Amino acid sequence: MRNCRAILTSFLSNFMIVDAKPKSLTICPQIPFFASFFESLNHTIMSEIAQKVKQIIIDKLGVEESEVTPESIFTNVLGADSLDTVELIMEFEKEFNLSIPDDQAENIATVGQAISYLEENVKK
Amino acid sequence: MTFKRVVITGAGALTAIGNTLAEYWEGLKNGKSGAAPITKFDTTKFKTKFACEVKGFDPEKFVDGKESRKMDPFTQYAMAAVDEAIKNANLPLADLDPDRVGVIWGSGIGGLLTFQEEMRSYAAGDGTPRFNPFFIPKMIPDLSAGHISIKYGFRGPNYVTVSACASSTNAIYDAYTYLKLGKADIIVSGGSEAAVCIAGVGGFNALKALSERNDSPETASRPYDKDRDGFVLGEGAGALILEEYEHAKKRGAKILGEIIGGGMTADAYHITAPHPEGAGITKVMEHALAEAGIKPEQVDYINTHGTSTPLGDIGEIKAIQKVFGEHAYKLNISSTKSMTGHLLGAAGAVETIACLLALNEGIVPPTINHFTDDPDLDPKLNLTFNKAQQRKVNIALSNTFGFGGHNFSIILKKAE
Repeated sequence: MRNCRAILTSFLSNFMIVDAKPKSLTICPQIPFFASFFESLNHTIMSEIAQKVKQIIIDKLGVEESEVTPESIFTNVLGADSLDTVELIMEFEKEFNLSIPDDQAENIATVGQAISYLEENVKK
Repeated sequence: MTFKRVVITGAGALTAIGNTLAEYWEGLKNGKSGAAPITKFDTTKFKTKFACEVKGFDPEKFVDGKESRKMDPFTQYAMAAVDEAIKNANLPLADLDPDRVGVIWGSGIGGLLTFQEEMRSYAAGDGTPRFNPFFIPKMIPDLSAGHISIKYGFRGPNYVTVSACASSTNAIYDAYTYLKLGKADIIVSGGSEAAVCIAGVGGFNALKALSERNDSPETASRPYDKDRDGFVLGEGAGALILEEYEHAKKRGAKILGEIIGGGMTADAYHITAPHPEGAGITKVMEHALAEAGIKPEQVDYINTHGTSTPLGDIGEIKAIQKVFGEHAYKLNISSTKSMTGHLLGAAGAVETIACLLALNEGIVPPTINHFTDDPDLDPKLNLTFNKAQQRKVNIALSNTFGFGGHNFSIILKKAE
């Protein structure tokens, strides 16, 4: 059952950012499962991680919420210089309690890439 | 070679007794004390619980939020004072040749708070370094001059002078000297300091340099009083626009005063105590008079270093008597540290600005908090106790001396 849910969730995440913490982990009764499936579908709210990432960017780079979209490149649209991006990575490390190796940090150039990386690596 | 003349065409101030030049001058005229219990950190376990803190300062009025967070308070203070000085001088920024505008700033310690906080974070962790990438740029003193030049695009000579409590007079004197030599048309000068933090108060307390009069902060800074017990830590910034005279005249600038000479000597004696005979101080005033080409009798007002320490205060007065002889009794002498506290690396700048007040308005700021005469001081001297005095001031001299024996003296003349 959990496998089913995992497959479904990762399928759905191609289309939207799905709630990272599922609301219920019921074992099998079909109706509650589909109920929460529809709930997830309707909930196009951002994951908690994405929410926090967005807030950190707004705080550190002093940009407007509307400028922070998944495609926004830190050093381009969001006006960060090389020191700013180092600071952002450090904030993410602190907030989510993980270490981001330099070679991985190099590949985090957009908001979306930051969110994906963190969603994959943050321990739940 | 002919030396150029150097004038002051603008000033800006941020102190415990006023956040602008006008407020500062008002505070000086009214004998206001800037001392109060410290608000920036918990002083429960500290010997000294008060200081002359800058009040109600908002860095975002001068620098945007994202930039201001990359600046230690000492740089934020610098940006504020320079902003005011440039406006006060009516500098035509768009028409200036940026290669001919420099910045020579002074700070004794620089980003002490930044250093303190980064190290405390590190010490509280497991030994893994997680320093903020802006740690070094926020901490080093020269970034104040750097930030100023970045904001305004000034590409002339650019650096910070460090000579403890003489740092900003040092900066002003260097700026004067380079302008005399024609190395720039304008130099933004002055100093800033923000050391009212755990490290600053704790460190100076350990040296036994600070007053511990916690039951009466406003009267603690009392230079020349019999019961003085140490200095009161102050913070803030003073900025001056120094300009080559012809350049200033050509653009119709208002001239606040002229710098006519200065002196630099070392005590070569002790890391913190001044030379007991005041030899270095005597010589530095003599050098300044010689460079200015004036006789001691021509000086009207001396703004002393006068920190309110038992030893330091006497040494300077005795040196003044040696240099000025009988004329010492005709001088007005005062220490404005009685009001602003000791701004360390920014002291020279705000005290030079106090001299400008005397030159422009004919009002000598007082040495406040005088209650009991010190029997070791000649009572015939006019130390301008407690209340400002009216006097036509044509020439003013300002002294600052730093730990390590750095002596600086600068002489200002009233604008024609």
